[in-house]
Amino acid sequence: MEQNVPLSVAGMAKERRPFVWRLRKWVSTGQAYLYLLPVFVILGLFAYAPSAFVFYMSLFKWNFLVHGNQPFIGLANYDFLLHDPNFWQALQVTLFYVAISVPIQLFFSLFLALLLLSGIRAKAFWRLAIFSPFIMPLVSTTFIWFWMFDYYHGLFNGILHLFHLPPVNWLGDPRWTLISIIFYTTWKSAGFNIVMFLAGLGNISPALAEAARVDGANTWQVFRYITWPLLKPITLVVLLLSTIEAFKMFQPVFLFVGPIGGPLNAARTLGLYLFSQAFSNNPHDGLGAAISVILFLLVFTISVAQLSLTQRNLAVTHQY
Amino acid sequence: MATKLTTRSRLAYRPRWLRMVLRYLVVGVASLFAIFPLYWIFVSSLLTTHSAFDSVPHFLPDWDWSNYARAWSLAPWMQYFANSVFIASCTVVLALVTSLLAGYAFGTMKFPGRNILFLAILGLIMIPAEATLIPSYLIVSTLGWIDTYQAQIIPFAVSISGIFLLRQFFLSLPPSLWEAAQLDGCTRFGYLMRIAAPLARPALTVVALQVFIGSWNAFLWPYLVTSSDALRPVEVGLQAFLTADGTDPTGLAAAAAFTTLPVLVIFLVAQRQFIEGISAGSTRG
Repeated sequence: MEQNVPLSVAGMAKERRPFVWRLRKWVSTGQAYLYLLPVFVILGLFAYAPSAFVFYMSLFKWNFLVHGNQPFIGLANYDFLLHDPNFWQALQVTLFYVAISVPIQLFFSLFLALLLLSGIRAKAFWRLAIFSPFIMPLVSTTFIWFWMFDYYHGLFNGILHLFHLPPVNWLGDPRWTLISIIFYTTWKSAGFNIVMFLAGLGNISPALAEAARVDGANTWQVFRYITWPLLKPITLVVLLLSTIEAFKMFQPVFLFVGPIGGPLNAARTLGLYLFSQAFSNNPHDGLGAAISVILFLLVFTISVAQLSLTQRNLAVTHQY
Repeated sequence: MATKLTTRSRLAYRPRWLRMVLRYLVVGVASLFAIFPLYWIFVSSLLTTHSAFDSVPHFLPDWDWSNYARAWSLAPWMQYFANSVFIASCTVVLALVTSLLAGYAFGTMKFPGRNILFLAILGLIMIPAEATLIPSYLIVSTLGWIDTYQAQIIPFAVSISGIFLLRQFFLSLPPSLWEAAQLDGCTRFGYLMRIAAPLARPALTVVALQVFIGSWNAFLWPYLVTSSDALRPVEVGLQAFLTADGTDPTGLAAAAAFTTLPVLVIFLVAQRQFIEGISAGSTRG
């Protein structure tokens, strides 16, 4: 084409082209930000701004019911928490819940995912059944579990009665409250983890396990030396997500035993404590914000630690 | 080592049929445990009050449908359902638009800061909504949005997993498709609307379902920002109903049943999409 154009015009075109070309490139690049604008406006207002603002609020004696200036008190909220037995109890309850529920969830979901892939028929049917609690709403499922936990008329004590065992005060006995809630949350969220594990296991070539079996490896050895190392990236993702989920858990507690967390506050997690401090008739929103900051830092530290572990493990698995 | 190996494999070598029976037994018990509470909602909702308070659990319904009529007449359920449908539908439409646009930008365009912006979105997974509850409430009340629909819609109009899924989808489109469209005079936006978005329909379905169920099941946030029945969704209405009267378990179970039924139906119809959505997020994440 260009050969037919007179020299002078071609020269002009050459001079103009970079500008037009740059303009078009700039427009097409700049467009990208336009596409991202709605997402960042909404996230800015309802995710980034609150995340930053929670630090600011924690330095004030903030109260939603008071309009006008909120008094600045520096680190006094944090100092109060350091000497607050309720805070230490809530921290202890949260750590206990994380330490018990996360390993249980991981173990059961990996075990069931492996079983589902061990040549069982109607796999989709079982998977559907086990996954269903995850989709069901919180309020109606906590209601039916509340009723099953009932001391006098509940299903669990009815079953214990059939076996001539003494009844358990599932939600009313402070030694059992949190454990009962672990039953519920495990039931509710195991399905999600199982589906994650099934997806991860589906990506491992069955040829590897077959080759190992030909070489005489048994089921445990195939799991230990082939499945487990190759599944590690997914295991770490599941671990990360369920740890975050466990740290912030409090809605089931609120629905089961109310804002104080049951008898002797036995199930009052950090989330519930911040919620009950911030949204009561006599709100301490600055204090609630300080608890939020501590919860956020805990989750953030542990996520970063687990993510760096993932990176290292990914580096190791990529060497093979 | 060799002897250890043989004893171990001999121990593990139970007859094949026994091993299969054990597997079916464990999976069967786990499935039963998973769906039993759902079954129990429906059984309890159809019991007479007498059998609900019996000391021996009744495992089969009495088919007492009067519980449903009683529960339905005690609260403005139609209003709650209408609110939930409206809120969830608006949230789905907005979340689809925002995810489509952002996923398209991240998946098909090159621009400075792309990776950082994408990480800034993914990193939000590490910030629990519970930890930002107090300032979020303050922002919504400063906007004057307490007890409105938009307070229950706009904050959920972005789906992080939706952006992620659509980005994955657009990354998998062959670049030659865009080049061909460009030759035909298609703009970037035209390419998205005429070619890329229709192709992304399976991914959009997954996102729509996830957002819809998430919005329908949301409890804590609507509970905080609503105070009148005219704006409350089903879940908050149910919670108020459940805590108001604890002496009528069969009526409460009926309410729990008819509020859970829509979710159950949607899940059974679209279970494949739900499971695929989670699998896709896990293997590529």
